[in-house]
Amino acid sequence: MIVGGGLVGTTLAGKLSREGHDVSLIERRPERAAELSRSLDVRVVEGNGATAGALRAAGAEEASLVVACTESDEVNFVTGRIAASMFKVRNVVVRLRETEHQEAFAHLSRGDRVEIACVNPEAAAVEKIVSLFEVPGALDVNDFMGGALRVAGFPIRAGSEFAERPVLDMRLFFAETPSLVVAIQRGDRVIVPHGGEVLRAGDIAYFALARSDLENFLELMEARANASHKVLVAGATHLGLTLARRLEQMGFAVTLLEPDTALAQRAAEELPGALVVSGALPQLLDEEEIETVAAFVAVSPDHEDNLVGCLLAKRMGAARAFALVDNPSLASLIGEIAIDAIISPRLLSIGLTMQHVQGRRVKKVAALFGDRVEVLEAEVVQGAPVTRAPIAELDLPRGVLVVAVQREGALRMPRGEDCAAPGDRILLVAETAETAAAAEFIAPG
Amino acid sequence: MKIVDILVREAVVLDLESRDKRGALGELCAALAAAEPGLESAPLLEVLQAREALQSTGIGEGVAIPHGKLPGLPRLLASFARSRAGVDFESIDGAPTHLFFLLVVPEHAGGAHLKALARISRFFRDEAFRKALLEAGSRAEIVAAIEQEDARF
Repeated sequence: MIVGGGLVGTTLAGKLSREGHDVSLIERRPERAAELSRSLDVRVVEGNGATAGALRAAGAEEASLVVACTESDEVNFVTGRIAASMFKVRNVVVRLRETEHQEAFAHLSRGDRVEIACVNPEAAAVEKIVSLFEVPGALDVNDFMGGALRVAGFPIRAGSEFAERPVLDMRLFFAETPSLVVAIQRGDRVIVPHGGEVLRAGDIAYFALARSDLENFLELMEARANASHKVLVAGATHLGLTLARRLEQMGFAVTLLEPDTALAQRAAEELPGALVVSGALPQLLDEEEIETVAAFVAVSPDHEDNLVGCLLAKRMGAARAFALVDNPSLASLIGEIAIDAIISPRLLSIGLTMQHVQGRRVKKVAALFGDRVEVLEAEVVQGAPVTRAPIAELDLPRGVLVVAVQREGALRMPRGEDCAAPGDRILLVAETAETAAAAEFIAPG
Repeated sequence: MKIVDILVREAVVLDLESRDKRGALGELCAALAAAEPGLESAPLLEVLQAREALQSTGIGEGVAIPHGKLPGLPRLLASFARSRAGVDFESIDGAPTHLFFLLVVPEHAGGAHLKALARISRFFRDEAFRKALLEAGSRAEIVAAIEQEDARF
């Protein structure tokens, strides 16, 4: 059961229903509810999800999962509590932006015998941006296997060491580790490469990179860390302030740009270490010597402004520009416009929620290329198919790439003739429609 | 980095006698050890075989780039060998290997190692380069072909 028919709720409903789950969705706004019942293949109930009546009407008594993902932390809070205490729903996921709410929710849920997870899209977005600073040149970074392996996306530029290079050359370069190309976007197509694929200029390619290979890889990619320690953050929102604090801890000098004078004033009080500047963006970019900064990060609530701000910053010479953008059609522009990374809190929410939906054995899921490809880390369960037959003999869905196996903390190359052992972590990549079926081989249920 | 700067010209082998992987690697190592004072063949062979055990360096199109890190080596070294008859090198495309480029690097030269590997593997994607090496009549012609390719990038 999903409460909240926004972008996160509807995307989740679609995904879960395609995976064969029986899905119902509660939406408060009558027109939106009517629209969703036409466009989605799920049961739509119009009502207030923060009431027992609406939850019961949508089938809370039989639900094995309730996801509360309305725009309001308060509604999600109440929905989550009712689902857990009154209806004893086994698995409850609530989207809460405020850390305070998360703490209170965890406190109230202590006695419950249910699986409860808070999803905080803002915190996830901040972590994502921080990881972009840790991997120069990357347009997206996802950590797996406790940080032992990163999956990072890079644009393949003409004349670069990777343009016109067979993906198999990664095996030549990094024979001891599972570092390899895991997904490619070429024009409208996405490819999970096997064997003979060759990287082309203009591709966006995701690489799995073992921690020990990262530095050498970045050198080959000619992605060098910017020597500048200055970062411009546009938007003194809650997220902007959290990000500024994290960047200050990393040793960056942060300048916050905020057009609203009241917000700017408050930010200056909360962040004594940062420089807060209030005014119109183009003029501010000019004054802040944008060509000397390590990155320009636009996190204002107006996502179109973020894109425009990044385009301006890049044109004026910013080394890197990252924009917070939720609209999937805007986000798909990446690669065609001069923006280095787009961060979507909603997509991050969906990924985090799917992790909980797929059960405790799935440790991490990351959506690549606007959720067309998924990277999934799962823990091998006793008796799972992958423990009973060599990987090469499993009837895995077509196109699934088994990237790495981690046993007792050590990363290894998966070999066709090997079986996995319970407790091993397996990382796989596939087109999104295939990953749930592939996970069944590792952690059925 | 230029390949001609690390190429040991005296170690170039015009035609390997061995038809099998171990023998071909042995000949490559022996030729390099003979040309490079202070380099021993046996430990080099061991390093190369350990690397081949992970995954063959036979990258297809009749090319292999055996390589390894050798403790105590003062600088990067490269050599070249050719087999007219072809060697079964467990290449990824299953075809016999005719052109061998050997690369040996000091233990802590990860970055330079990768750059040299990237450069050599890029050279071999050029069909004209592979043809020139296959048709070269002398060691001097092989060295000239490598110099010419090196000057292109």
